[in-house]
Amino acid sequence: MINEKPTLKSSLKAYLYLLPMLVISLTFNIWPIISSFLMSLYTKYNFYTDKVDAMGFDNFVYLWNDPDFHLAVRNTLVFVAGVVPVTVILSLIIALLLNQVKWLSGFFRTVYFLPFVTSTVAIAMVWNWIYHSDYGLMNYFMGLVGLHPINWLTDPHWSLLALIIMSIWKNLGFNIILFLVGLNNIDKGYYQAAEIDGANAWQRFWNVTIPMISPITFLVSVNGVIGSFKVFDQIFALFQGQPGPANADLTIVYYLYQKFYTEYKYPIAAASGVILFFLILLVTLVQLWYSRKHVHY
Amino acid sequence: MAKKISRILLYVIVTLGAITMLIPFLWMVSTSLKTSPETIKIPPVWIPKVLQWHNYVEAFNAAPFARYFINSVIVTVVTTVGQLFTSILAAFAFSRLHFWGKNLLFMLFLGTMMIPGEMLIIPNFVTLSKIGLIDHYGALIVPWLASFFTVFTLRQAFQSTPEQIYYAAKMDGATDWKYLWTVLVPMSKSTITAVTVLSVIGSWNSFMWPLIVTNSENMRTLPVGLQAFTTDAGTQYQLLMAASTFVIIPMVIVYIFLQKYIIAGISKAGLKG
Amino acid sequence: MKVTFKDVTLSYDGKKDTLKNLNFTIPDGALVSLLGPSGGGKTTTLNLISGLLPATSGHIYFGDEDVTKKDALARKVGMVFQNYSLYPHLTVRDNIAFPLKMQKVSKAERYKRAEELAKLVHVDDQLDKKPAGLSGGQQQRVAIARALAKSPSLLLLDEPLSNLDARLRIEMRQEIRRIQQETGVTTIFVTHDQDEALHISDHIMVLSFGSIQQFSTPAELYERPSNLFVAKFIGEPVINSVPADVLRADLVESVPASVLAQAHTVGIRSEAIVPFDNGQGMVAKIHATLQQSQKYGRESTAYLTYNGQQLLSTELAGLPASQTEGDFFLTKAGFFLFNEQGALIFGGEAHDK
Repeated sequence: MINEKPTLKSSLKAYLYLLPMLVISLTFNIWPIISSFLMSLYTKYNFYTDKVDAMGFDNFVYLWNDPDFHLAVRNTLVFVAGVVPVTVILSLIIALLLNQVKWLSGFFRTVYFLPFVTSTVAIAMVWNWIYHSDYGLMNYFMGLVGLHPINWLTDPHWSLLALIIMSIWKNLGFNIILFLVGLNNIDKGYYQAAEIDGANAWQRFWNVTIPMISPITFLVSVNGVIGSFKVFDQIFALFQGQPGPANADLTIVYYLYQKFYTEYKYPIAAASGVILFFLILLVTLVQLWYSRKHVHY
Repeated sequence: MAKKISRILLYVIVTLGAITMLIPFLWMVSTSLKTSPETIKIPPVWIPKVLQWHNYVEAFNAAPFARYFINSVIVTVVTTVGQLFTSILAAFAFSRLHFWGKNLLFMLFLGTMMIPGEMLIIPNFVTLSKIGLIDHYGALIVPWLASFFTVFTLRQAFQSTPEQIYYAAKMDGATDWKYLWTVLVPMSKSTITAVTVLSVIGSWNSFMWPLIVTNSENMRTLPVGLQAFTTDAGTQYQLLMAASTFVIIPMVIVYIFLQKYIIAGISKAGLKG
Repeated sequence: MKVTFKDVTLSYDGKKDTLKNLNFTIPDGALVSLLGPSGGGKTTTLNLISGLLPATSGHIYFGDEDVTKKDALARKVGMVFQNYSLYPHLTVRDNIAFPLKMQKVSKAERYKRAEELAKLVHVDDQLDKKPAGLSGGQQQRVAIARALAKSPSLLLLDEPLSNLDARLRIEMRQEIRRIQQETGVTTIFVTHDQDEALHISDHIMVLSFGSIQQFSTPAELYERPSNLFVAKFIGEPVINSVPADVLRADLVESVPASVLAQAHTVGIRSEAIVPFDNGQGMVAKIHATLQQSQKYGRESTAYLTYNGQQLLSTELAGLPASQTEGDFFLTKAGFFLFNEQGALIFGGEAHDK
């Protein structure tokens, strides 16, 4: 048992245990990955007969020339840039505050985390109502502080911001939990040592908390970037089946959905998926490269 | 004195933040209990004069929500149980059994987690159309019966149980199968609960996939049904909010009762995964 | 059950031998300890006996049966692991009954047996608790009861006392002895603590560098160590060992010339250096300077210097504090000569069986 080498018998047995999971994942995870890369290269494809007559890079050329796709990439990048940094900073601040709270701390944690468990579609309906230009809460509150009402959902200038605000609200809880766990894991000894060395509260924050929490910050940012690149549900529900006014909230995944589901252009949809994959990979690698220098494990 | 002020300030900020987080929920429940004219009153009414509980009945009957609800329950329960079953077996193999290609297979699975799931939608749709499962429970459930995330989280938990207990059980006459179900699974109860809850939440709230693979009204899950309902309800915001409330409520209840496990699960899986 | 090893070799990586050519027989009904420094091969040997670890070559017999190819379950051994390895989600009763449950023994019967065993190991008042609610000693007792539940051919214990505090350790080692004597099961336990081994075992196997240094009774191990390693490893304080040349001239009369010629190292137990001839046989008289003497509780130690070598004695308590030199005697018991390879060539004969 100890130091056991795999044998034919033990391997057969293990694969029997793996079988259900392998069958499902080969069919619905591994094969589709290969398939979607291949499909992105189909240039003559009949999806009724599943027949491929020609292959090439035409689909990528199409995307390169499609202004809608440009818009989708641009919107996605703006969305990621708008959501991730704010979410990371805000959730770190809230986590730091919650970490100080003793009385009712369980209650506060529950409240901040609540949006994470709620259905995106259902809560997007609520935000749709909050953003209502005439009777929505948002404009009402803005009116209270003397701001002009905004057509949040119908004005292409503001609709992406509306999406960003809602997404930040929804994502905060998850990241706060991660930060709280990270803060809890910091050995109290570091703070005592820093205090003995004469560091004040602010210096302790910059020289102990920030470096010690950096792995979590990294994790939260990577998670945030990947998740935000794939935004779809919120848009569909917030704008009731439209990618925002004048495509102002058209993202890559929404583009993929349109090409695939409403226009039946499977190869082009697959090609946009491939681009999405490489974009995520690129950004993750950049983050990884950056973290090598700035994250302290 | 300064300490006391900062303490008060802390609670003021945290409370204001909490209110901000809660407003959409409060607004949802408040609107769901209003009359139609009350919904468009300015300044907004927070507590309706007479609570319109019948909005819930009306919303529930305005679309086949009962059917959506049943669909969601079926899909969520079967997906979660099935996923748990395949994952427990696979995680056990990865954590305790010796077999050829173990590391290779593991790296392959780890690598596929990098792939955005949205890329898989098209090929999966094609596969399911071929076997004629589109617009069936099968399409809603089968692709989700394997979850690498669950496998990895469980493997982590299984590996953290002492290896000697495995040997002890083997010496006590337990087969691998018996050891898995009578020792390892009960010992990993908290992690299993955590992944179960996360899977339930994910399944219940899932939208894009059910939207794509269901055509008929009969097969819709709650989020898809709710989305369709918005077109019918138009500007009847009190009905829309009532419907949103009963879509959200089950997960809020699950969350409130099991939040300890969810948080433990997220921190375990999130931090190591 | 008698256990026999015939030329058993184990290699983890197929290149380096962790254990080489092990040959021994453990008599039926004995309490045997495997003693040695960490990394010496004790736990590996135990795992070979248990069947958790398959031997690379050689044969293992239980009684007359060759069990080399059998796994732990088929060998029917009961094992107590270092950290006890109790099932945390089961009560004490269910923990003890677990092996019987796996054998599909009826519930009433296995609980009856569990209660008997709990009585034997004195945890019958803890039956409904979970392991986390027990002290270390109690967990140890439960682990022993569970190992005994399947009426094992052998009871194996891997460092069973190392997780206990000093006082409990002494109590538990007596308990292991008592339980072993009450059940009569052949028991083999691993320890790195010679005190533990010397106090309760019938036989001790000293393992180091992947081979058996000596396998004998505790008394013989002390009184007639078969090599310098064992002599140094067993005994507190550590045996005095000095180059043979230091004493060669003093030994001419008592040691045969042929033996003396081979002598490389001299080993002298601290109690073998006495201030007067007690008539029980002396090998040498030396004139040495007395350096310092200290007294801790019952024990007193003194350092002598002879030919530039320090010797420790525990028998000089009676000397006046002012004395700085004098004649000292080396008794035959506790005096050993080792050759260049470290093997015993002189001493220990007087205590042969």
